[in-house]
Amino acid sequence: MSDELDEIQAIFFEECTEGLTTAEQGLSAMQAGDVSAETIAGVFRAVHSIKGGAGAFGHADLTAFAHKFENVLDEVRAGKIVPTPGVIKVMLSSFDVLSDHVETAKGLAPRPNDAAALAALEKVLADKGVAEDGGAAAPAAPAPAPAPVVEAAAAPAEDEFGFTPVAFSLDDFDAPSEPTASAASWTIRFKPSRAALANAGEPLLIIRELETLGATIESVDVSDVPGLRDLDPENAYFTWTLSMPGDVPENDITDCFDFVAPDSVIEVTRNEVEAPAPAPAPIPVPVIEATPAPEGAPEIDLIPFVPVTATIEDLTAQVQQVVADLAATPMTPTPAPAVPTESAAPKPASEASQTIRVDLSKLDLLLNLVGELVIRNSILADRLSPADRQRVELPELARLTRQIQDNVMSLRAQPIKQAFSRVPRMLRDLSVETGKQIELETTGETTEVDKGVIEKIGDPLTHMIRNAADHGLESTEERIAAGKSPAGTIKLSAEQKGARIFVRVQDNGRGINRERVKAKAIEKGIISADAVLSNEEIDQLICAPGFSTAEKISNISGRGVGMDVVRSNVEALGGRVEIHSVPGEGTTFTMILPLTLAILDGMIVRLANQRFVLPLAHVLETVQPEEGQVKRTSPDSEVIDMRGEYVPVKRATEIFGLNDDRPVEDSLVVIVESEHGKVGLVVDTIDDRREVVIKSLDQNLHPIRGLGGATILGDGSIALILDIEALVASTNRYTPKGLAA
Amino acid sequence: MSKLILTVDDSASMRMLLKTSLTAQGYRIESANDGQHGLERMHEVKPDLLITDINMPKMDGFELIEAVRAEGQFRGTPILVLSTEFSDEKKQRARSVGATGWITKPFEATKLGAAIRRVCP
Amino acid sequence: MTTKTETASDCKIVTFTLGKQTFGIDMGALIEIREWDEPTPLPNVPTFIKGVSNLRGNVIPVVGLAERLGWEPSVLHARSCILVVNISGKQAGFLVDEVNDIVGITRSEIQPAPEVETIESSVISGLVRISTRAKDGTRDENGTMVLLLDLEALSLTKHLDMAA
Repeated sequence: MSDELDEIQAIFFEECTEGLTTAEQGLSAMQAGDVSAETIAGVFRAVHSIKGGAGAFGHADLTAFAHKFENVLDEVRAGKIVPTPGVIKVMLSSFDVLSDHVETAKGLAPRPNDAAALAALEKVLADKGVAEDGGAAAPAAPAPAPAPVVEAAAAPAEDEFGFTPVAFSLDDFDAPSEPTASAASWTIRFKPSRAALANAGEPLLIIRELETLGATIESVDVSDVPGLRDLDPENAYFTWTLSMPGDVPENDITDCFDFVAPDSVIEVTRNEVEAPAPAPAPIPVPVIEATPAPEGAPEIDLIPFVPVTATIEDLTAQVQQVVADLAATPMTPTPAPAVPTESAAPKPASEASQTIRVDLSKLDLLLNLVGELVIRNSILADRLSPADRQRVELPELARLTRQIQDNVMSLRAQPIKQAFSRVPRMLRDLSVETGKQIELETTGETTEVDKGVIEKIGDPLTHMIRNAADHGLESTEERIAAGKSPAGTIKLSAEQKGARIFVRVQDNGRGINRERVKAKAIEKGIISADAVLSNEEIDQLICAPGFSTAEKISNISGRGVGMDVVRSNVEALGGRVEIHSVPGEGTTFTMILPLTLAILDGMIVRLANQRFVLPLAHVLETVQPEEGQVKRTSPDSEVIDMRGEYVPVKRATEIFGLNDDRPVEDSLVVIVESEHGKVGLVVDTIDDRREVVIKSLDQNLHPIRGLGGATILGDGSIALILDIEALVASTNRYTPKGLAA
Repeated sequence: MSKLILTVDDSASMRMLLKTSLTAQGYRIESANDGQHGLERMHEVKPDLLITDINMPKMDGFELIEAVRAEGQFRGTPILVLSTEFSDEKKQRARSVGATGWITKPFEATKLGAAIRRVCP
Repeated sequence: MTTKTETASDCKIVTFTLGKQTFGIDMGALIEIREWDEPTPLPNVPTFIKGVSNLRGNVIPVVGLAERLGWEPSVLHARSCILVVNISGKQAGFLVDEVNDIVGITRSEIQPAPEVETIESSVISGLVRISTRAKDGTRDENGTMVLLLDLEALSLTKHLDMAA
């Protein structure tokens, strides 16, 4: 295939992906009870489009399967088949097979065995008494032959309003040959009806085409032409008689009449070889010429009402022109000048708007520039005197910059639905493989996330779902024995909170067997035999490299080694994994991910003479502690009395090993809060409050626990951004190596 | 001046295929991605021929043809349907709303060219 | 050993001094040479990571190369500088004593990495002898042995051992 066609096919494959997504959503909706006309039509259209394009690019198997699937959908759409749960189930499995065929067409997978699916579709059609479409060579046996697809799909052959692909040879375009007496020939009689002129039809074009095939006009019968008064410009009155050399295939002749209205007179008769006969004696009256009326023909007025006037000479000249044109034009699509390259990132098409496809790298560039703009704003603010800073221009500038930034960020943001789209199919397969009944609940699919994040959480999500299905959920028997519902449920959810995205996979299975996990970890040397660990710490052991609790290597989740890969993938994105498990009730895995290129409202503080940024969203209040307000409760920990509530206190030395010997009474304590509690952070001073651009550390380094990135301040220096969650989580669990997971 | 054809199809890849094929045969091409858009383009570019798909969101091919034929200025404009469907009912319906001809997908370039010449002088 | 003229080379390296040893890295990986500037220290990282610095809007880690190789930390002086390099798309700065030269070599001249006791073998990718220019402009025909560093092996983004 030429480069250009490759590009077009690439776009077709993207459309297939979108179409498959739409179809799956529609089918899921139908399964849930929504069998409205709109939903069904959506599924039909999606499969129909895939079929159309597949045929154009020569993917015979895909076309054939899609065709059969489309038949069923068409019948459902027309109300001839009722979408019962059984029928919907067949459609769902057919959908899976269709997806596989698309993968095959892309060259990414071997051809699926669609015999069972085809048979099921056949049965659905048959049960409703719907006859198979004529001529479609789709038996219950697999692999319909490639070539016939085209003709079979265009089953009705030569009806007047159809079009049948037939071999067509350029050699036919020689100058019309003289009908010789000794050769067989065709006689064609054509009287277009009034309807033939309707719909902008033009019978003369057909005559022209016949002439290009070699016909000659023998006569024109104008006997039906009425007087001028009764002349209807929209009616046809002529009857043409033409003769055609006998070597022209009949199909070619009838093809010409493809679009002619059914009530026209079209007679094609073959004249076999006769005794030397002269050319049929015509009444040699050309269409419009004021020659003596032929024998028996009435007088006609010379008013040409036929749109294209022609004498025989004119017609011949026109025919020659057409032939010349055709000879000069290549008959196959040649590579035209470069089609503008369209690459990744289709913006999801919304109902009322147009969309364009944009290069992701251009968006990235734009985002970087916006980030720079924000920094420059900060620097500018720094350089101005306090009085000047109040001038209206600066806040205006900041506001505009913020607007641009919001809009640009939203360009890259897409609903996380895309990342979830594989899951239903995955679960159907897992359900079959494990023999367990698994139900899926999804929420928050419209949560918008940066496109880069969507791309990278696919694999971790897959691992987590597989683990839940394989290890988390019990078998149906076990569940019943435990008094649970026979079907296990996996809940998949996404939620945005502040500058973070929470993606959860929750199962209502057996929960983590902590005894076994701990034993395995000891056995693998991951922890020492006498280690004392909290429940959360044991749970996190699952993510340790080299860990596995699978008794046998199952096909689905391998050794269960997915989790350490999941954790490192998530950490590489600047996030982390939390595990929450209740034995007997289930387990929840949460991926906490940052929104990329967040601009953070931050409080700049100094800690041991180094500047840090605290996310303002987490800051509750700041106090200058009075004497005795901070109490030491143990050698390792202190608390501060906040109106009767004792909040743990952390110092720079504890967190970062920095030198911090300032007495607490000379310092400030900033009370910060996360999901899991509060902490009082001892700082030297508070410098400022401003918006900062988060620069990810793991671009060039690896994620560092306790830090949520870095930022560049107005003077070019770097301030590290503190991860409040980690700070709070580390309370009372500080280890010499740094913060616990 | 070569003839101008307006193609209407909701599939970008199909529009591109048509454009490649028809430009190589010497036609100028404009395109639209659904019936509504197609109607607008008809007014804007006044093509010599309209080629449209049937199954499209917002306004399907039948509705488009009907709307086009309702306007006097387009009564003489040939309209070809290009669709994977081929049932008699659909074809009759197309004819009744005013289509000049029907071509079934997948199409061969030569057949498409011949069909165009049959309706478009 | 033959001396080399630049025109016959197919590869350029940047040579620098660290301690008593001359090293070289592929010129193609070099982004910039910067004067030494105290980086912002990072918590919870190995000591050879001195911190992060601002490189034209990017936050890049700064590595004390001597410490990374297991030696005593470099003593800073006027000619100390940071080589900012690109390792598979990630940027990092390495503190060296002095940058010497840009030299053309041919790949055929590169000998296999020798075992050097004081250096972790995986970071050395090869050995090459180059002629050096003395300050008076004369060429030292004996030349200098340059240890070629394998930047990939020095990458900071490999999963750090919890025990580090």
